[in-house]
Amino acid sequence: MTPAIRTMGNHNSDSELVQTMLGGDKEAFAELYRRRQRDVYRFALHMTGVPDLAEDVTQEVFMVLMRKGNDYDELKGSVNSFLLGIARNYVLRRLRQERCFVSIDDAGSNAASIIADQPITRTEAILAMHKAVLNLPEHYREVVVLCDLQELTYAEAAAVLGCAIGTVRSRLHRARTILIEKLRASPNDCASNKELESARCFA
Amino acid sequence: MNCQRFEDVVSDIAREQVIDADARAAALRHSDVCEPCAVRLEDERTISLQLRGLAQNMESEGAPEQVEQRLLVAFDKFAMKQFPAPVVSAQYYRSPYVIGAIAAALLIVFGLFAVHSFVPAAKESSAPLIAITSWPAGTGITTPWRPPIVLERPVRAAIPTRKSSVKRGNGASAKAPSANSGNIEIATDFIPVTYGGAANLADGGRMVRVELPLSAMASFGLPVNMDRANEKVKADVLMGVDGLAHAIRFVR
Repeated sequence: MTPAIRTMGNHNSDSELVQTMLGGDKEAFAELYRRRQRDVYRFALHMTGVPDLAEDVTQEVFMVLMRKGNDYDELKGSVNSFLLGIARNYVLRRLRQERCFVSIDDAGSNAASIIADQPITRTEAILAMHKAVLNLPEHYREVVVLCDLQELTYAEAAAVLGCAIGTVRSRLHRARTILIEKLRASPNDCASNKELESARCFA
Repeated sequence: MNCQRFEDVVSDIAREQVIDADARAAALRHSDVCEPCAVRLEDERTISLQLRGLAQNMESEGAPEQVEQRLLVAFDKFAMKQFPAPVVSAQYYRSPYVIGAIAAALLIVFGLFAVHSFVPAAKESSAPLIAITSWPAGTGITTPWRPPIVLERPVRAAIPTRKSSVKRGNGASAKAPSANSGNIEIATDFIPVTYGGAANLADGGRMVRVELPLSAMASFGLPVNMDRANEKVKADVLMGVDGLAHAIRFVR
């Protein structure tokens, strides 16, 4: 990072960077990218579980920012929310195009072992949790990713999703309940899990 | 607090969100006495712990470096399209406003040129030309042409160059127009034109420099070499306010 960019980063808010970028300032765009690309990439990765797809989504999000940055309204939310909202749209579109990213059976069997009696390592637990999150229906998955994994407030998540705060709260509550149910289930209950997963796929 | 109200706040408690202190205390008291709710709270806390571990595990994840490079290249291309150097299209030149502006500019230029070219000519043909002198006595010259008249044309202040100052030595001759400077004209007396009257000239008038065939001098009784009858000769015509020519003189 050049000193000029560092200085810009210290003094300019995201909104100011957007405005500067819209005036053709490449450094402002670069600074904004370096600030926000991790949030966008992680959101896409949590949602899809596929690094290549997350990379594509990240690139698309900032291309949209480049082309349609004028659409950003500071009154409607932060730049981060704006970018995550774009990322969400792209992720959902890509997931609908390519339904086969998550192996539900695999995710279910791994998730089922987290709160099982047998000892597991922390890494295994994290991996299983990742798969369990990926196994959630999209509208539940996105609130878990935004509120629990990316630690957005309910209001920020509502701005990203374009819904009410109460909707975010209720979806998050339901999503966590599903995760608990899934992780509490023993491997012997895989059959019942599969029925539940099939139902979720059509949700 | 009952189990249903506990269910409403259990996620916020497990996620360590900011909630009402009384509600939090009541929920925790309820979990102490309600076994299912205690398990529920413990499960929620486990989930929160696992999710936090997942978030921390992926905290360092980010898009590869080449994404930034691609985006910056794309930004350059986009900026070139969005903020191009101003290029004037052919359609711009065909705009009626532009054509009108060009025509107006040309008119102004020609107008200024005409004014500048006319005003000095009027000055030239005024006072100095009328101050006719006689040929010095005893020269024996018998000609209708009057002695030379030096026209007082505006002369720009000469910027002395090194070369000229060296040649002249003293600057005495530098300011006076020399006889060889090309501003000397010889003119005849004014010859009245038959249909004019001197009284009209008192009201004013103007002098117009024209070019006539040399043979025109003969019609006014002046001697002409007929071998050169087709050549041109300059003449000053005195025009009255009525627009008629009142007098003429020939100049060479």
